[in-house]
Amino acid sequence: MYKLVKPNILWICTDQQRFDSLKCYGNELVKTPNIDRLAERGVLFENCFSQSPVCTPSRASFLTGRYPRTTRCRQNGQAIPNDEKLITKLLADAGYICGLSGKLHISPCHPSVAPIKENRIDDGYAQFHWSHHATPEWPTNEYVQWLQEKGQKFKRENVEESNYVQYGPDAEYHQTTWCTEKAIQFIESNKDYDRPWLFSVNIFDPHHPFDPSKAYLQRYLERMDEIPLPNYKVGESENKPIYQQIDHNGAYGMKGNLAYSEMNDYDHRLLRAAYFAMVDLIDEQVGRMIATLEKTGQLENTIIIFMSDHGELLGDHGIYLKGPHFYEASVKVPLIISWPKKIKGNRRIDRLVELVDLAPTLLEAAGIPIYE
Amino acid sequence: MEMKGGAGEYINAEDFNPNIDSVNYSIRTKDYKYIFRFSDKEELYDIQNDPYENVNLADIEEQLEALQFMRELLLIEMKKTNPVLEVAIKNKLSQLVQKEHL
Repeated sequence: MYKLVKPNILWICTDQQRFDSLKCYGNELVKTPNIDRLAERGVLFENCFSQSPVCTPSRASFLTGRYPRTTRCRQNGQAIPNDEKLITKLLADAGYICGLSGKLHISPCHPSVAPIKENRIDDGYAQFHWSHHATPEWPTNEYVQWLQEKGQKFKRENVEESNYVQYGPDAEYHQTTWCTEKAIQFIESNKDYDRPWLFSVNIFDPHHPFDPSKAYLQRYLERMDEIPLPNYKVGESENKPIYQQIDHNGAYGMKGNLAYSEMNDYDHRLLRAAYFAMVDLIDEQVGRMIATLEKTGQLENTIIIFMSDHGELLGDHGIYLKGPHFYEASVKVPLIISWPKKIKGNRRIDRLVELVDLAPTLLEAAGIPIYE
Repeated sequence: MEMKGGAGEYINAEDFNPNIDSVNYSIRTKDYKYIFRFSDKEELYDIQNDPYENVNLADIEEQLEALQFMRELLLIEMKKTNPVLEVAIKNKLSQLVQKEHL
């Protein structure tokens, strides 16, 4: 049977998740048993780097196996040209059925320039559940439509004593959960078909805004003292390049926007807590997807990838979010791959790998010639 | 509208205009990481003693020798890989060196 030869691919890619936000990457505070178990079952890459510290160039790069200067997506707001071939298109042409939930973000996604939805090239996705992010800014945001169906409205609540952190929707109404349910539906409905499949689970978290579910943040509020402060040496920005100095006073060059220079220790710890809380929900949902693979008998021959498109400075070097700052926190990402049928698990690889390596690797795994 | 400058648009090395274009390069050894920025501060980190890169040594007088070494190393690599830009970077660096000696 076709499926016995070609593996399925469950490609979980979170947004803006730094490498050290998982227990299996040394973080003792987060609760990530499911991703840790995935690492035990597969291969964990200790030194994986993204091609860019922002979304579009990074995503265009790992979806094509080409560097940003070649795909011509060098910064957010630039559209992937029609002549670029995505790995999903190549897989689809080779018989795969490809699906997605969440964002794609290889074309402009600001509502001012993309008011209806993200423009797509011939990307190979047969099923496309688009929700760029949770905030309702497009009528086509499928996550927001799902909330409506459940009689819910998207809302955030203020967290007392914080200008930076808010409570997002509860876990059951969270975008991470929605992305996961779409994946589960796809995995279940494909189990009876011969065709191999690929599903991209492109969760928006732990990308800012810092708005975890309340119950998940609460766990950290009791142990705030244990949360480490950012890696910052007082005054270090002063003799660093100008954009680092500017972003110290406001991320994205916007004065006062998550400005490290205006924060106290409590703010820093609460922001980390919020970030970790978002990761904890991601982990739970990863557990659900893996359980579905198990339940439907598809775990053996499914390649599971867990990764992120780039990191988050989270106050390191006196800066929040990201920018033209190529520090480890920004460019080093988690990468875990498991494929029980073919790859020996419980291994940690310390060699340098890059996200640009993924596309050719997946083609090889699927027995498809490398595209040049 | 395509932004002029800073958007990373593709140009040939031969067309590099030192008045409006910029380019950044980095090179590292076991001990140091050096970042050259055509239109901003250089960075030099002692990655043995400062692995998290909190202290930029490029401005520190006692580190001038290490800085010069890393600059030379970059130029040697550039000569092999992009001789046109090597000339532009060499010119820029010699301006910086002149300033250091004032």
